[in-house]
Amino acid sequence: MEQIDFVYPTATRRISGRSHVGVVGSGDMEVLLEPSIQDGAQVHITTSVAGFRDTWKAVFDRFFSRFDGAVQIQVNDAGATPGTVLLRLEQAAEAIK
Amino acid sequence: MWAGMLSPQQVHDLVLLDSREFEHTGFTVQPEWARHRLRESAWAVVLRAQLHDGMIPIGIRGFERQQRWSGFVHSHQIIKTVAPSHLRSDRMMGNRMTLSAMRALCFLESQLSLLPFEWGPGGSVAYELASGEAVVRHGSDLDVIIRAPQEFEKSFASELIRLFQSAPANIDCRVETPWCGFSLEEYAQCETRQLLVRTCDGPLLLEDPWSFPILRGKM
Repeated sequence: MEQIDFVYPTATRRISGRSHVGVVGSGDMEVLLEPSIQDGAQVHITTSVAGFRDTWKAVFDRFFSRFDGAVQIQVNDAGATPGTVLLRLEQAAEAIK
Repeated sequence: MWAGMLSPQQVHDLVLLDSREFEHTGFTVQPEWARHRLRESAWAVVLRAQLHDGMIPIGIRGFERQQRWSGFVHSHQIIKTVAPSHLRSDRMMGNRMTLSAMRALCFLESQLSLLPFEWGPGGSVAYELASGEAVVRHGSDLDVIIRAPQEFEKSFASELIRLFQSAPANIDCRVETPWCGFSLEEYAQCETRQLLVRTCDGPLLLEDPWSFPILRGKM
């Protein structure tokens, strides 16, 4: 298992909801999204596939270019493709609206 | 068009390839391990992807866990096709019953005899039962494929999940409708209305996995 962390200090809009989407099954992942207790957003990823930090960074940069909520995101990944990761993040963000 | 619509092979089926034929096809970027692998055992799994010039998308396993390679084959290169529903524990080598994933398959065989859908193993258990090669490990999950041409209720999905939770191994179940696949667990538990489905064009979020999006003007 590889652990990866990112922070997005400019995502400062306060949010109140929390959501849990997805499943830890092969090629998929679960996302837990909740209000951050700090300023900005924090992302913590636990993945079964090592060596893709740059890909995760690119996907989260893209997500936070459109989403500005001060959230704490926990991802438990079992080999989701970047397309699946983005859909899961959008689904989690949609669920707190 | 995807594998299954134009060919007798469906996603998750295991296919035995004719290795001699295989040498002469347009597989240009095969890693060395994949060439080596195909000389030894030419079992592959049908993948979810667009047919490419009528060719069928397949994946092969390497000698190591992270080694996976995918490509396309012509239907005439396939000698034999085995669907998950034809893979049962009677194909198992005797000493493999110590593996929890194999015991979980036996458990499901005893519990799912009345399931009104075709079902069977996927992943490493399916590969081992088809090829006879010992690839299942201690701690391996049992992947299960259910083919559901007709819709079933979320309450039925929840019942299946509860049954799976009493199996001797962790079970990861994928439901296949005529045009997409999704996680049984997500369907049973889905907090949000939308479900992530896998199609040959990639993943999508939608509400009804049995309804083809073209008919609703969404694709």
